[in-house]
Amino acid sequence: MDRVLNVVLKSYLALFFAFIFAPIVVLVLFAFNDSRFPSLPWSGFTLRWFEEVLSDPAVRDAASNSIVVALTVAAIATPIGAMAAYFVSRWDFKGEGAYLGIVAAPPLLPLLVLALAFSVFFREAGFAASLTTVTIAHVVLAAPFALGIMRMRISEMNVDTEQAAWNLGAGRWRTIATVVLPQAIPALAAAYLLSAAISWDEAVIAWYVSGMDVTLPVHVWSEFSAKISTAVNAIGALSFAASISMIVVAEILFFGLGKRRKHEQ
Amino acid sequence: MTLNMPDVTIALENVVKRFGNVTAVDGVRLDITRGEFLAVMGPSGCGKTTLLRMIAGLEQPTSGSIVIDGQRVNDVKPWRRGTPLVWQSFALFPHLDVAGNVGFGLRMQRVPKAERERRVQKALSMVSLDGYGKRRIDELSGGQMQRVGIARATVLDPKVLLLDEPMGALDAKIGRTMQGELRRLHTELGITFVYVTHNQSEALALASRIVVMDGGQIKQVGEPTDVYRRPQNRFVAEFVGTNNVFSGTVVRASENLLHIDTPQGVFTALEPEQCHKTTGDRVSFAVNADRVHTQDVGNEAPNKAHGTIRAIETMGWATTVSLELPDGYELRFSQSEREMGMLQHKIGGEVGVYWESEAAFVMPEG
Repeated sequence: MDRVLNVVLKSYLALFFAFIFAPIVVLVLFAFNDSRFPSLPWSGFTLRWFEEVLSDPAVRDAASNSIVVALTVAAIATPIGAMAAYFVSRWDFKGEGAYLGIVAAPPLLPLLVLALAFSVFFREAGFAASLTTVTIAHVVLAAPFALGIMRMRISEMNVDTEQAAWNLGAGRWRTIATVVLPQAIPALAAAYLLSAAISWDEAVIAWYVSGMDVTLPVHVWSEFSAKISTAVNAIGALSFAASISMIVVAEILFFGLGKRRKHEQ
Repeated sequence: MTLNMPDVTIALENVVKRFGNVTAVDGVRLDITRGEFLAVMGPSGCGKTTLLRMIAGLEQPTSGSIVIDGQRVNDVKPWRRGTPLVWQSFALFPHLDVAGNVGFGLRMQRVPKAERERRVQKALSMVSLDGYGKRRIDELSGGQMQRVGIARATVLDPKVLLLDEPMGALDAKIGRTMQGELRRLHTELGITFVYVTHNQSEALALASRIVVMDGGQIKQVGEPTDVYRRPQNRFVAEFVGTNNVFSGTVVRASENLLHIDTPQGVFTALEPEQCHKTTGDRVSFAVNADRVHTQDVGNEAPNKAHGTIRAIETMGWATTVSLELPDGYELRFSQSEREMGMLQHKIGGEVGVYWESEAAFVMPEG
């Protein structure tokens, strides 16, 4: 009976995994198909679509815009989220639950709503649509994730170690620099990578708030929404490889240190 | 340092600490003498840890003053107090090695590297951790972690070492080894130790003076034998040692001996000095379980009782017997393993006991 259950559960998990990843697998496979159309029949293996997209100046510009935006977003969202996480974790205040609920809201809103809100806000506030407005909007989207990651990490740190640092002569800021930050570095790196991945992938908000310079998802959307080309698969495969690497490294940094963290309790 | 009190390191002047509606420390007055090993003992929630944290500056008193070396330090931040603390949770820095932990305070004081290393070596050697400097914290046992915690504090050459249940997270055997080391360390350093614990055997074994606290207030201050043998009130009698507390009316007072009529019989008890009880007064007295003996034939002791054995608890070296007296009072007495073996007590058996008048101590505070 247990063996049957075991087989059923494992099959279920395998199917669940397949369901999630099937579209991505198909996308990546057909990126290597030697045909103008990313569909069956299979016409042979080729790398020409990758060569084509990598030598396309428009794709290269969009990709480099995306990289700059993603790295900037991560560099802003991580410290904002980390500081908010620290203050929320270490100081009790009235309405803490409500505060957390509100700051966690942006990622939960429909992207289109958020995108329109940003579009209207930037226009009314007199910001010209540019990579800067994309960056600002993405920070709003990514900071709550950084906050979430940092809050989980800080809640695992023994608060006594900070008071022990005060007790041994370190003031509040020196304690943060010498005791809190060093313990938080892997989690900070994880928050950085996750924030970058969120910005890298985001298309809807970027579509509404970008100007002449576009990010990669916006370029793909505008360029290929009307025509079918295997080049899209190549861009998708490369973009997916970048995202998944960032997320996997973030997860290793965050969850892979379980053994070490156990000892701190 | 004030001139008229050269021997007081820390003075607590009517210290009160409230958290919302809860009064954790309720008007504590205490002078801590230079070089003494003071244990602050009480049940959990009695305010002892809050008191220690206020000395360290980690909590601020709601009212009253904390005076260190003649200076009121209520508003001095914890990082400027010079009162290092040894934590029950160790609170070591997991990202630093042993030497990094021990040298942390010196680094904060910007002590030059060479001197820092020398002092770290010396502090590690004092807690028998020579050669452990490069170890990671998670490679250490609990006992070793706490020794790092002690070295991290003593390396600063403080005038006072604060210890908050330092053996609370250690198993009993390591705790006993650590007791010996703490006693040696106190002698070698010659500084004031303020040691918070709920464990009376630790307090009795280590301290030169004990403060017993309950409900945020000091219930008794005294040398270990004083607190153990002459409890001032029912709380101390019941918290420290195993005491039998009797209450009754004084029927005769002769010299320093009181004859007291209790529901369990008429007993005689020693009256402490400056107590001045007379006939008709209600008094309570305590008889420690280890002063109650099983009755020998023809014994002429003035205080006798007879009852049925209800429970026998053995702790290895000694055994505590619960005896139910005719009126239902539960009297406890303890005997060595050898005495127990000879007497062959059984649950349900009848036994007579006695104690000397000197073993019964009238509690001034009732």
